[in-house]
Amino acid sequence: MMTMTDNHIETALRTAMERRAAKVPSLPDYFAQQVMNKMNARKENANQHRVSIPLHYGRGWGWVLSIAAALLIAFLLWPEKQETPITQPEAQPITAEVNPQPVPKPIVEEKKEETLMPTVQAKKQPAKKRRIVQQPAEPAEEITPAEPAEEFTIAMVPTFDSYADIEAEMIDIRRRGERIEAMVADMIRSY
Amino acid sequence: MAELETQMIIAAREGQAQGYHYLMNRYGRQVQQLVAEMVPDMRDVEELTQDVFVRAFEHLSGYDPARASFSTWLSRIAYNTALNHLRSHGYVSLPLDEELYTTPDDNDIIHDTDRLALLDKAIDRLRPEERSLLHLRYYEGRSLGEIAEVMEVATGPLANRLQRIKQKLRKLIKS
Repeated sequence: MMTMTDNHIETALRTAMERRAAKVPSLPDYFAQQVMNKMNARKENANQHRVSIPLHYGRGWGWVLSIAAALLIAFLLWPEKQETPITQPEAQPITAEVNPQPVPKPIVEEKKEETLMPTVQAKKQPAKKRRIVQQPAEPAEEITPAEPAEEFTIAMVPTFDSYADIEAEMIDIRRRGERIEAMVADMIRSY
Repeated sequence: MAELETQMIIAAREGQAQGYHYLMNRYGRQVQQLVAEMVPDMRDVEELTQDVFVRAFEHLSGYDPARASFSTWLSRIAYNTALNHLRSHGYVSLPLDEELYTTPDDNDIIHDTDRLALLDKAIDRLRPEERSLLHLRYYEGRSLGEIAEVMEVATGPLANRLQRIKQKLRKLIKS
């Protein structure tokens, strides 16, 4: 019979732990081989993983998505062209200028200019010419120099101006969209 | 011996099978016994011992001989592997009811023949971390500094912990 003092428990613990450790069966002979197999399997798995996923999740595609989102935001927030709205009183004087007195000389000169350089004139008179160019009904007339007179009279009709503006706006939006699409496609290709 | 071990560690670092085999032969049993002290199922013990060596060989470049011996470094991997395994299987420490400690004072005396068997049962009731601490201290004969390195704790609290474990065991034996 004895009391469990600190010394006793130290000795007892040593003995107990030795006994417990001795109870553990020894490692099998193939243990080292199993470890090597496991290591090789892990290496193969790691290599396969690298081959199957060229772009790490969230890295490559994350960049593409963030660029695309930035472009979309830029597109939506892009400041619109500031065009002064064309009102009826503005259009009226032009028709009044042309229709009542068909003075032959200036019209002929204007026609000549148009026939020679239709695009240049379009730039010179942006308000009028842009509207003519955007006419959906007869776009060929603007370019072909054969019938410039008709083209001119159509442009003078004030009701067509608002439609032409909308059409021009739509074309402009479409072009910007195409440009952004091309840019995004380039970026994706480069990745 | 230490020189040979260093050479073999370098060989293993370079991926030479000779290095791996030397280290497994030398430390295989030590790792297995530490894991077995923490994990009750022997099938898991063998599997985990393999895992310890795989992890050790994969991270051999991270071993710093100036900081700890290879044996201590390997024991740390073994301790963490066993603990992670227990946690992944919903490890909850055995509840040590307060009732177990409230025992009559005259029960302080026990028979020598029964002592070891009782102690063994009491050790079984300890938490895996506590059992591994006893194993490292009383079976492997490690210093508190080395154990602190293995368990990644400070030496001071470790000494207190060891003292508490002894008190706990005494109370368990009494009960």
